[in-house]
Amino acid sequence: MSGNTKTLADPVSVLDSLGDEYSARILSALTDEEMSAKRISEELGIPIATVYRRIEDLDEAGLIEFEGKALTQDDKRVKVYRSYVDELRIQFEPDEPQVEMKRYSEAQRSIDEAWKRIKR
Amino acid sequence: MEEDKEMTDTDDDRIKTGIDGLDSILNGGLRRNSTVLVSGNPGTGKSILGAQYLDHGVREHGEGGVYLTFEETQEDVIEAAESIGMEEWREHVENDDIIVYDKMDLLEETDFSQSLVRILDDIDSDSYSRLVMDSLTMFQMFFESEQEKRTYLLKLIDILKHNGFTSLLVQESQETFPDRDIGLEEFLTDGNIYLAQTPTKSGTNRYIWVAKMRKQEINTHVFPMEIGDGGVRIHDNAAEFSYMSGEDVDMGNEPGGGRGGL
Repeated sequence: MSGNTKTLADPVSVLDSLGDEYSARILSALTDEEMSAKRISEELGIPIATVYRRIEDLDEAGLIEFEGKALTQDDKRVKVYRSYVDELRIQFEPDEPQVEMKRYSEAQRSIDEAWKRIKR
Repeated sequence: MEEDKEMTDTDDDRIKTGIDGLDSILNGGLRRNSTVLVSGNPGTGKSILGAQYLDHGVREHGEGGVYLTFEETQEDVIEAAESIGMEEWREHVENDDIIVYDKMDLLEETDFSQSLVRILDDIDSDSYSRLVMDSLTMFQMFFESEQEKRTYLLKLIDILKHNGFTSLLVQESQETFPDRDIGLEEFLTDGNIYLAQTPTKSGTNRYIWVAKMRKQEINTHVFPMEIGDGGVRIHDNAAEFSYMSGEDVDMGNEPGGGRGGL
């Protein structure tokens, strides 16, 4: 149930990703639902090649996760991603910063989804 | 709609708990769509009270019930109800008048979201209007910080209300009656009912205290309570009993008393 917190392996690339305008926006968009690169590109108005590169960065930094392949309306299989970042805690140690990530739990997700349904 | 109901809150709008004595303490019953916290130490009768509340809904009002338990199996819940004389409980479950989501359904975190979706599907139909969660304490263990616990309790209350439930949330408490440790649960729910027990030479004395009930008149005395055949029974004749002056009863936590717990 708890134990939702982990230390991210590459803190510098995490900070790098967060500092990039596109990456930050992609990360936010993926917090709410899973999306494909194409949809991110369309909804956020970011060039598709840039989206692919940023997704790669975010994935490597451990901030987003590959969720699987989804079927599009025109029957194509596309990779979809999602973020489970609930909180990031950055500590500046003498040698290098440490980033701890608290994961958004299943329980949180289920209640949030049920709650959104009633607020619609 | 909502405001109309509040303006015309008559006896008919009240949800009868069906527990002898409690409905008169509550001046007719619980407010429709309210979420009420039932706190007490282990063995004080919280689960029995919940089981009775659902049993009464089915038998007397044709209202279906949902029982969520993180701690027991469906069979445990049925047997506990039967052992105290609620003989139709099993039948209610078999007829789907009471739906039990037990620890098998709820405890695995991966299943938790699935269960919740299932629960919400069930309650979309208008036939279920009473809910017992046993316990809120376990529900809150899914969340880490105080902030998260608060946020998700509020959302849960919202979801229950929106789906037309009048709910009892059972909470394991450490203290007999709250003194210093009033948790955020007490503030966030519509009402608080405390159950307590104390050992005596001849057995156990039991008490119930309805401490708060939003937007309704209640009797805030502490009343003696019994658990016997049929479940919980409350002696609501206030003239016969005053807990606060009961010197022979060492419950601790009297206002200003400063005595320790049991």
